[in-house]
Amino acid sequence: MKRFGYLQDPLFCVSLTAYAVNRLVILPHLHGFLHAHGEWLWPFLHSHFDDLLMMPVALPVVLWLQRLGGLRNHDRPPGWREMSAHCAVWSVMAKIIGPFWLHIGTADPWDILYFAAGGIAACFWWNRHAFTVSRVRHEL
Amino acid sequence: MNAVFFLAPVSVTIFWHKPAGRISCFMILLFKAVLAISAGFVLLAL
Repeated sequence: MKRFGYLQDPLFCVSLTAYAVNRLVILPHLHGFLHAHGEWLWPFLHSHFDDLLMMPVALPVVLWLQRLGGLRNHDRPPGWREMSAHCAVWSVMAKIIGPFWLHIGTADPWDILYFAAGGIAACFWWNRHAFTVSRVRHEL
Repeated sequence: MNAVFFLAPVSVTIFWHKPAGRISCFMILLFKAVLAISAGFVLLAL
């Protein structure tokens, strides 16, 4: 089993960079251009791209903190249960508690689908070695 | 700011318990839930 890199994980680094570029460069500076020329791209970058990147960015940080605090006793890649539990907690917080109680953010149910899609894709990527090994064993 | 107030006591409690070696499965689950909720507050603030 390959050791998970936490904050050095390539997917985490790429997702964090994409998140930062979107928030700091694309949204504030390319707003006019994309609004005029990117019919489908602008709504996606403005509303959903961050949601898609939430799980690949946030989950490694939380798992790293768990490891530091002794709450995680292994360095395996994030499992499906870990991913889905965090996805559920953060979806409830971001789409129910935030908008309705704290008046932060919007209660768009589509965002939960993007959280889940990002988490599922990330989990497949993180566990790709396990899938490969199990397929080879099955073929043998 | 809420997140900081929430995170600080949680971190202290976790690191306080760790060397003692008497952390139960339930406590681990509880701390994990609290950590996830704290991270949720940070994500909301972002």
